[in-house]
Amino acid sequence: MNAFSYLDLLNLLGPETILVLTSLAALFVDLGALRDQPLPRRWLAGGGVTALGGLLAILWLTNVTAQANLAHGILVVDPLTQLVKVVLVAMLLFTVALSLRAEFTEHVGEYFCLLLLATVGMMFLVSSEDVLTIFVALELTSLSLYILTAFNKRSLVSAEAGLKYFLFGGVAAAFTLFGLSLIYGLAGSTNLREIATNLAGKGTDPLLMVALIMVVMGFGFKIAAVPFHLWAPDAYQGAPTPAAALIASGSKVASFFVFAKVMALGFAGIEGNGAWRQFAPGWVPVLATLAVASMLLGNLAAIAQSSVKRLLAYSAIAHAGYMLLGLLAMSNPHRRADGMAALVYYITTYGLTTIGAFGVVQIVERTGGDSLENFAGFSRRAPLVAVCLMVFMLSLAGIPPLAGFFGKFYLFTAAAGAEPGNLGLLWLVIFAIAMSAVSLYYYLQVLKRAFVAAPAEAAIAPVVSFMERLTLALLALAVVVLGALPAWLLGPIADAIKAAGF
Amino acid sequence: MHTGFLLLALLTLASAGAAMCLRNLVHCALCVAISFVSLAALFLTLDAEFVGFAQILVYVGAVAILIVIAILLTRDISGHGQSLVFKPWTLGVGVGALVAGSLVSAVTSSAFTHRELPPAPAATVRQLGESLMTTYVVPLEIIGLLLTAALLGAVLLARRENEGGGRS
Repeated sequence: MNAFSYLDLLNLLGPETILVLTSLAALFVDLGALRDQPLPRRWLAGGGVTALGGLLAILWLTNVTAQANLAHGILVVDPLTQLVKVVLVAMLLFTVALSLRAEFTEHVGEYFCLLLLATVGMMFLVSSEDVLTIFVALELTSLSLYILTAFNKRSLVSAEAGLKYFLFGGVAAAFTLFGLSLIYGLAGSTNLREIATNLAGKGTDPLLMVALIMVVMGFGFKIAAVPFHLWAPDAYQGAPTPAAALIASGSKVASFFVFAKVMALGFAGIEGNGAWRQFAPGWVPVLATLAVASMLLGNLAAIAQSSVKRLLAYSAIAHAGYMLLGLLAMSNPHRRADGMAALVYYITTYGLTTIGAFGVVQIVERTGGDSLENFAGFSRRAPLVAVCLMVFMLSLAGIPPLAGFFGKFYLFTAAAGAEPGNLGLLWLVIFAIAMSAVSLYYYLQVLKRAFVAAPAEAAIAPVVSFMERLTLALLALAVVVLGALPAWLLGPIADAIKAAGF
Repeated sequence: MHTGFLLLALLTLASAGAAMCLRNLVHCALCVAISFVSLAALFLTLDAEFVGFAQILVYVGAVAILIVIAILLTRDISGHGQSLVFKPWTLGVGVGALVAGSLVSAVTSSAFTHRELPPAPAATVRQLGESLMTTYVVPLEIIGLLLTAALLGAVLLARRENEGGGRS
């Protein structure tokens, strides 16, 4: 056991500490000082406190450079984790900005407190290479998100979504824990790198494969990959829209990042082979199967949806399939950095785009609902928001020069080049490109309603607050700029990965 | 030792199964308590005294009592006596058997189970406490936050909303 200093710990966990204190502050301000104030003012105050804490955390993350690996990977702080944490807090801030005009609950303090706790869970998740901490952080994130999903107590759909999410999540967590304890039993360590060292040369033992599949099940649930996706459409549809935005963005970023670490570091040595006609057992063929199923089912089911929130959920499932390609690209230890860079770029830009899309859906919902019909003639009722919607949808579809295109481009080239010389995963990349073409159909369906279809007789112009306009415009701008100048984000990511020695 | 393990494992599984299938909620709660006790006994046979006693104190002592109180306070749900057995039950049993079968076959055919086991470490409560406050202090803190979130969520979801705005 190395010498342990709580002061060092506090220094390393500065951003997390700030956010936890902010969550308590949001709770106390709302329950104490603002108890009898009108609801809009309480939303504004709670959001203000949360945003302040988030900004402080970002300031800390960008200015305090720290690099440490505490107690065998229990806490890992390096430039890469700091960068991903900045992304996570930024996503929290955008979610908060979209929540300010919410009307679904009176429990403002609790809402912001849980948003912050979920984000803190994600940040812990990102900065750990120890399965124990990973599991506990995963539970903190999930539990906060279950409650946020069921937050709208006036809506039965929200309660049902929360319960469904909770039950699926509970079973998935049980499988993860079972798998992780098997791995601990087999490898005798909870540290990812030590697990890989201890399991090296043991080959593909049946018990190890069972453990691997159980771990993949748990993470597959978090990232909503087929066949563990069943909760996603209901949760996205039933959850209050800003909460759904956080589930679709921040939670995905953190889960994918840690999933990639667990697979690439912890299961290094039992990759197997996913190349066409050369299958060998390991995690690569397992993830390749999940990727194919997710892309196929996500894209095809999205076509049949009439609720745009459900459409976004199925699109999220399809995108989880694309992102799994990034994980597959990391199966070759020499090309790991490329795969990681492509994955972080993709999840960041995807998260920003999805928050924007949910923001637009929230505005449309005010005019009656989130079905495709409600989008009819939206461009004439709210031109600026409709333009933002166009940017988000086209980016999700992967149209150049938007961020979604470059994300897919880097991801696919990383996956195709994972095995230099034989282009082993090319079949998967070709499939992914074909599926992206399919996805264009349903994204354009939404845009067609918004820009071409005539508005319904009784259609009313939605009320859009200044904050929402600003947030959506910022997000759309980010999607355009990161697409036109991808080096702005890719450069720091590559530097951070190099500095982290990944 | 071996028969003891088998008996305790059977008791745990049977009482857990009964807790899911019985119609009377109070009986279910009792079965859950039995399941907790036999789990604690399993821990004790593994020489994990602290975990065993903590299991009895926390789960049998607090959680089981809490479940009974919750049933008492929400009287209206205990009256219906609806069984929650999923139909067609063959599907559930089939999937369960499949998972159990693959687990058993993996354990029996694994090379890992045929190796020499290291001697069981005798961890005292003091050692447990020390590593919780040093090596594992970060997970401990995260669990603290987890419980805070759970508490908030429980209060929030369970409380009765008053219609028409304003706080009670």
